[in-house]
Amino acid sequence: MNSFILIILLWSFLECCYRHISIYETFIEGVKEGCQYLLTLFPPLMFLTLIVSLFQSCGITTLLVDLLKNLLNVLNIPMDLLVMAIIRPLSGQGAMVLLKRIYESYGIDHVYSLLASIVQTGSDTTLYVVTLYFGSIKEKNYRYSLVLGFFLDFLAFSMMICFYHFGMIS
Amino acid sequence: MNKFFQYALVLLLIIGFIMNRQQQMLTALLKTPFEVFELTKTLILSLCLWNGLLKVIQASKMMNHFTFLLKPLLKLIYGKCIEEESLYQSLSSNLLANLLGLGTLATLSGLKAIQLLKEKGYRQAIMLLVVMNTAGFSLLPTTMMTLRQSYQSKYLLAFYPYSLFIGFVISVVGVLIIKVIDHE
Repeated sequence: MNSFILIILLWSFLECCYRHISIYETFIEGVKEGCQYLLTLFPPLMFLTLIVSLFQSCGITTLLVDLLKNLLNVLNIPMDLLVMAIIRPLSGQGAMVLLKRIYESYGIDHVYSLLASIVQTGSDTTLYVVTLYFGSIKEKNYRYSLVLGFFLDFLAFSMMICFYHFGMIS
Repeated sequence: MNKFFQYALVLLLIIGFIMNRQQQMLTALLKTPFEVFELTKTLILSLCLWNGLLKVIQASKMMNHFTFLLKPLLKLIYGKCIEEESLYQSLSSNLLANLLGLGTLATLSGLKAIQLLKEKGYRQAIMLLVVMNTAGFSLLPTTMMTLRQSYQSKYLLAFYPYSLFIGFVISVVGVLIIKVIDHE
């Protein structure tokens, strides 16, 4: 993977040399443009982090755990995995903490660790992506993007549970 | 969406009071600026570097060598907006970076693409871009591979076929739903 990125860069630099394009000036221009993202992205990121911090600290996950105990018996998965699936669309770091906890509790090659790996890679941090992208264009109307994003996260989790229950993941 | 976040903030605070978690919430609140600082520091510095490199990659027109592969796929997803060169460059970089698991480059090219899409008024394409990036479909999930390797997994890629299939399916479903809702 590292080689692949370096190959792309080498190829681009060679093309620039061939086309007599100044790599230094083009790179500097790009870095200056990148600095402008600080002012655009910082406020929405601050708001997003505030929401996620309050979500994680207010005790709602404890309430969810109590409500979801019966569901756990049906799904036959540990609580950490279910909470991870709920937190994944909201906080990548929160999901990563739970992922590592599952790895350490059950061992990396246990089926629950495999399921957790699938949860982590099967989708992305929906709230972060939507807020970042729409925040960068100062668009307050997210339309149905969040709802669709959460629905797709739910679909990804459901597919994983189906594979598990039909014995396709063991 | 503003109203959703407003009500969410109020609800979370009320739940926190009911659950007697005032101290934890206050601690989380006070830690927020430092968490944002760490997040922004990493993100912005990476964006600056990758924006510089991306500008060089775009100026070199190296991506044109992949046109035969990327253009039909992008046209299928994003439609006629691909015909504009600046949009094609950003959207192709975004798609390629996502497929290769290059998170920062994907974010950067995605941000460039969404700005251009907004300027030119491609509403459906904006939604498609956001959903393609929330689906997290990647051919090379290097972060997970590295993490599993650090825990000395004997079956490093055991998760890969499932996450590949699931990522592909939710990307397709997301695109189809948008094409139905935002039919142009």
